[in-house]
Amino acid sequence: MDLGVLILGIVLGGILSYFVTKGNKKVGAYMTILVSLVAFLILFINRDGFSVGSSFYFFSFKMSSIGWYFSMIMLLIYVCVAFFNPFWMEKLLHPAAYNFLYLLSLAGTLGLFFSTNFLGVFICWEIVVWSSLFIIPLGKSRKASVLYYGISAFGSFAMLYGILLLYAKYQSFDISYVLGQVATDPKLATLVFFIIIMAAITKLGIFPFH
Amino acid sequence: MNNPVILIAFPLLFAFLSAIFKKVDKTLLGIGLVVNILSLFMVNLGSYNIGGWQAPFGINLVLDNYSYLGVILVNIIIAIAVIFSTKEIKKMPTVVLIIIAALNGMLLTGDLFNLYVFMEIASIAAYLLASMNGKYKESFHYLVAGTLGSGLYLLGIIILYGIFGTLNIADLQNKITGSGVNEAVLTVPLVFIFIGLSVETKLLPFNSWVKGVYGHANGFTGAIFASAYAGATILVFGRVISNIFHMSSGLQNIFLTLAVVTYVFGELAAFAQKSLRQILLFSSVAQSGLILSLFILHFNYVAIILLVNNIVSKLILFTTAGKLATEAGTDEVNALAGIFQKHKGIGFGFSVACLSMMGLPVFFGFYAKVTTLFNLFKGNNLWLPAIILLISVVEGVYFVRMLVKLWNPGQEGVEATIEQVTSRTLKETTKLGIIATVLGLLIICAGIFPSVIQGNVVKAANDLGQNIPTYFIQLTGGMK
Repeated sequence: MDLGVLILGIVLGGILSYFVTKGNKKVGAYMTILVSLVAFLILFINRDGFSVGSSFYFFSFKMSSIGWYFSMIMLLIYVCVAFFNPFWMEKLLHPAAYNFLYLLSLAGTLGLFFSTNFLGVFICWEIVVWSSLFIIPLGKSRKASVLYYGISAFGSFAMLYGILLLYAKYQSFDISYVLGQVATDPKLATLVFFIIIMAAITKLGIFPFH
Repeated sequence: MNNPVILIAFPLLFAFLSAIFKKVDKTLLGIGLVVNILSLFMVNLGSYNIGGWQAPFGINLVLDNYSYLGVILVNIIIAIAVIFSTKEIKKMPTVVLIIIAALNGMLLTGDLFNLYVFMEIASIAAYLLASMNGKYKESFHYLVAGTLGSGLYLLGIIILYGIFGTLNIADLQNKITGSGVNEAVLTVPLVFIFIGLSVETKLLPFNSWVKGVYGHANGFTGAIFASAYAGATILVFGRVISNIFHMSSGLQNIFLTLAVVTYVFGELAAFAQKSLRQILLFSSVAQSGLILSLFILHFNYVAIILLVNNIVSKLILFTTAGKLATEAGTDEVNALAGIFQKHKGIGFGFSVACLSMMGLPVFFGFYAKVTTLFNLFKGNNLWLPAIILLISVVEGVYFVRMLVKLWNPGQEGVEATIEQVTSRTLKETTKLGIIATVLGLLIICAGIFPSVIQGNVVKAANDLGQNIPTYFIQLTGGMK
């Protein structure tokens, strides 16, 4: 099986859940549980059955132990949270959009863990950011969404700057190749590390980006 | 019929007919638009002499990939704007047809004086269009600024004519590069031409007219100014900068500083606004600054890509904002809280356009932004990408703030419910909703499959960067 196909399947599941929710909110919510559970089971059972590497346009994915480990944690959380979705359907102003964005953020998160190139990491990271950004104001705070985006964007764009600095030097977005090369240039490595880590710091809400 | 002069002649013909047969002027506008769009498929690339005199003694029209891309964009944008806003056009079909002829002429001409003539025609039509909103003081301000700018442009080309004896763009480029003339001699005319073009392309400090005109635009005039006019004038600027300007590094730095400052201050000003049109007008000013800075640095490909993203997105954004202002009674974001709950198709298109402007994946704006940064890094430019990314955070925040409010009614700390949605509404939204949704889907498709647009823009950028005389124009002079 292909990781790219699994991720694309989740995105398509999200689009389908949007239209299903328009017809019946509860069924649409159950779809989010089903899609996230199926993705969890596929990754859990078929861990070694994924093809070595797959690519789709500028996305390129590869199974790895650490990627599998983190994706299992995230998928478990998404499945557990999805069980509350049918309850939220009646309260939300945009239930269909919520279900679509929920699954889109899941797809982005998985893409993040399995991507083998920096550009793919950035794209998946941004997909997670903007899908979350529309979910947040479905609660009580609109300002939270704006603040979340502002701080996240600061980190994401810092990461992008670091990624492009590396590309300018090594002519590649491939993570393992670039990290191998940059190890021979400690100054650049340190600079890029601090620039890229901004993305993680802002996302994690570490002081002063809390 | 493959001569691109039909792109100027047909709209002018229909403009005259619509002035005579006023009762069917809207029908004539529609026919003129259809004929013009069909003509786009019939014209062939090449240089076409007008009036029997061969270039450089006579005026020629140059249809290369760059000008072809320009006329396609402008004509399709105007056609969509007219379809969006058939009711807002009222007594202006003649003016719209003149605008089409003038903008096509600006993009096609191979002569600087002919460019001035078409710029003046376009400007006069723009002043009339600006006065449609009843804000005559702002329109007069635009008229004064535009006239001063075009006057300086004219003075600049007079000086160039005095030095080189020609205003044909290809011949002038030949003479500027071959004559070994001191760059200092060219400083004064280039500065005058730059100022003249900067008024129309909204660069600081020549853009004081923008707030009055764009800020009171309706759905139609906003789309025309922010998309069609912006696209045509910026493409003309790109042509002149690439083919005529031979700048010393000092002059280039001055022009670049003005463009970058325009970008930075434009985005900061947009952040401070509370109404849709004010936000979008400053965003337009900022994007002009950014695109022009890329043309000044000769990153033509990414400048054109960013321009395409900007004008398509602004078409949807300004049309929606203008209609909200006129039909819903206001374009204050707080007063329109939750309005997209009532108009989901329009909201979808508007949101996609905003996200594309922010440069988020999977939208076309992401491809435009990343390609821009990528090319700047390849060109060893590290400071402009840093500025772009930093200011993009500001841009993203004001777009997100706007979108969150338009989709989610109610006060901070209170869950959004259907009862809290604003009572204001748009009328007859089916057409706008369908077109906005289709354009939104196209932006997403272009973002996922950018190769569809990439090939045409590469050809356009290559033609812009070429030394024109080695292209297809034979500068022989004389009669045919």
